[in-house]
Amino acid sequence: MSKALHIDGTILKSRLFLGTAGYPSPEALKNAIAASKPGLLTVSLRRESASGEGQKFWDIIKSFNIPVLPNTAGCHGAAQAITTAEMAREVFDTSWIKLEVIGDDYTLQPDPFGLVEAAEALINKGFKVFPYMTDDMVLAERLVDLGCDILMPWGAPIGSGRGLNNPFALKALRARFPTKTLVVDAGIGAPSHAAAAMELGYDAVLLNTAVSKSADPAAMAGAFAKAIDAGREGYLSGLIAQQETASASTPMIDRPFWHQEG
Amino acid sequence: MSNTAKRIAVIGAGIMGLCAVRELSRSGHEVVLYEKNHLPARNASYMAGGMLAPYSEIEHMPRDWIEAGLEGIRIWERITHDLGRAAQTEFERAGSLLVAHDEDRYILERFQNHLTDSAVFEHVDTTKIMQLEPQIAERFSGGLLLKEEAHLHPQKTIEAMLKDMDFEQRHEIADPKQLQQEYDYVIDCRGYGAEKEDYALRGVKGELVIVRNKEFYLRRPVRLMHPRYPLYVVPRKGNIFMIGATMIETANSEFVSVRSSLELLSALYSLHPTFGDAQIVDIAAGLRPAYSNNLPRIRVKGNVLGCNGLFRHGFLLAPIMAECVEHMINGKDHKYTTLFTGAPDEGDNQRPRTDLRSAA
Repeated sequence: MSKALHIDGTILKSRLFLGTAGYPSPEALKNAIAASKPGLLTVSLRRESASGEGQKFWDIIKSFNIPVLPNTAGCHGAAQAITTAEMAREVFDTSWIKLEVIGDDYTLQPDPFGLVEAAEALINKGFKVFPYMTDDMVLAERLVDLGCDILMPWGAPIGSGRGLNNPFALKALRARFPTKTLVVDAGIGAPSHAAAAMELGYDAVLLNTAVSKSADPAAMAGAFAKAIDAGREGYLSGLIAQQETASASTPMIDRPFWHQEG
Repeated sequence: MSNTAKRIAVIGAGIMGLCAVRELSRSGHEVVLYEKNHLPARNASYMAGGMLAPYSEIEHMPRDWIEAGLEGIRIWERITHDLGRAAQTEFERAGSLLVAHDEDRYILERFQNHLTDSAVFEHVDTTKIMQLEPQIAERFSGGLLLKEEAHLHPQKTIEAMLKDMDFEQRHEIADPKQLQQEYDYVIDCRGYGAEKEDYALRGVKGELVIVRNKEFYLRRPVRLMHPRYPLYVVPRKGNIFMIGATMIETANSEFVSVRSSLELLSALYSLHPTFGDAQIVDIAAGLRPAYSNNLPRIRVKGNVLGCNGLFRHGFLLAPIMAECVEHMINGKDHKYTTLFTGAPDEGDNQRPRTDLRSAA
């Protein structure tokens, strides 16, 4: 079996990172978690819910006993992201933060400039930054230079369910940063998308909507967990190189090879 | 069988409490309503949208609750009839219309995938929307019409029910533990107010805006399917429109945030530009009581029946829950009783009780 994923000295029990937003109910979320046993839960913190009166929902999240990665969803600049990160550190007692700085409100495309600025500020404040980013190589370099050892490029825009829009760019990132932890974050729609990301050698996949908005979130979460395991094992087992023509897996003894031509 | 008249205390004058008072006094029991606020209280029910929309709620309510929801609509039709005129409740069964802006059309597709029965909705294009809701037709090229759904005016309905019913009312804070000594049964309908004794309850804040727009007309509720702000606009008499509602995991409903009002009002403005000049009549927040599965429950403890956790479904499900309560007290079976008592409480392995004959 594949080696477990370590982040910041913590062993994560699965390479599925599951978002906790948009489920029909806390119980539906709980069932999805029970069915998929994710290694990490992401939570979106809204200032209002962070106060004591929102405690019950956070108590539910904490009761799963799975490491929590708070995010800065909906933040539009470094200053806002920093405030949210500090609030999250207080509520969840963790210095991990998924840094999401939105550049475009409609597509929720991450703002690469704001991201670099906020990442630097948060790293200086002692946070472990998980940057949600586009798949741009230069941006990745800049983030690594700042000290990020985790990168979370998008598969496709948040919630779109389109899968891996640009496998070429994702492959290039994997090749450029062989020792960094790479996570495909956002845009996943089907278990096959998650398996494809893992087959590229990615360390984990982060998803939310594909599970929370499916007709049966628990069953779908289970399907994703299997797909991620399958993709990981496939990658570790050495995928064969693709080729243009067919080649039979069993030798055909009744047909000499030169007859195949005509 | 225990068909003799009982002395029953109902705590809380939200829609659950009022439906319970109505149902129990109709079956001949002597009912006393306890409510800490002046009536009508400005509670979660008073703030509700009044959508009776079991299909539109498919993302918040499992499929096997739809039938009970439809029964709820039929009961409201009957209550409206009993109250005399539709003007009393503004009950109308004209369906509801789900629309999405072109760039968000996929949300309609996703929604449709949740509805297994294609007979319950109709695809509508601009021409059809023009017939249904002419003023919004040019903004939406497609949508779904859910024909079976209805809506009513929560505040008027509550006021009409209060006027219509014959019951004793005590304006005081009530404690179910104390009242259970004095009464044959106590129906605890306090909503989030019961949280101290029922820790499984949580509050989910909902914010809404009510506006008056004389240049706009809607026949039926319209749901705007948007990736982040799924909102609905419900028409009321006198060019009044209610837009709601946010869903925030907090039990503090003392204020409406600027962020929420921006979300609500910009969604409204996106429906029609005349809303730019509409008058804001009210802007308010309420607290939906919810259990972890976001579904209501009847919890039986001795002679106390807790009816709580109605979340987004107060008007839709309260009448049918009240019927179940009345049946339980009179020792009769009701088709839907196990829907409300069925799920055992967390950490509670006892079989849920539906037969109360030995309790009182």
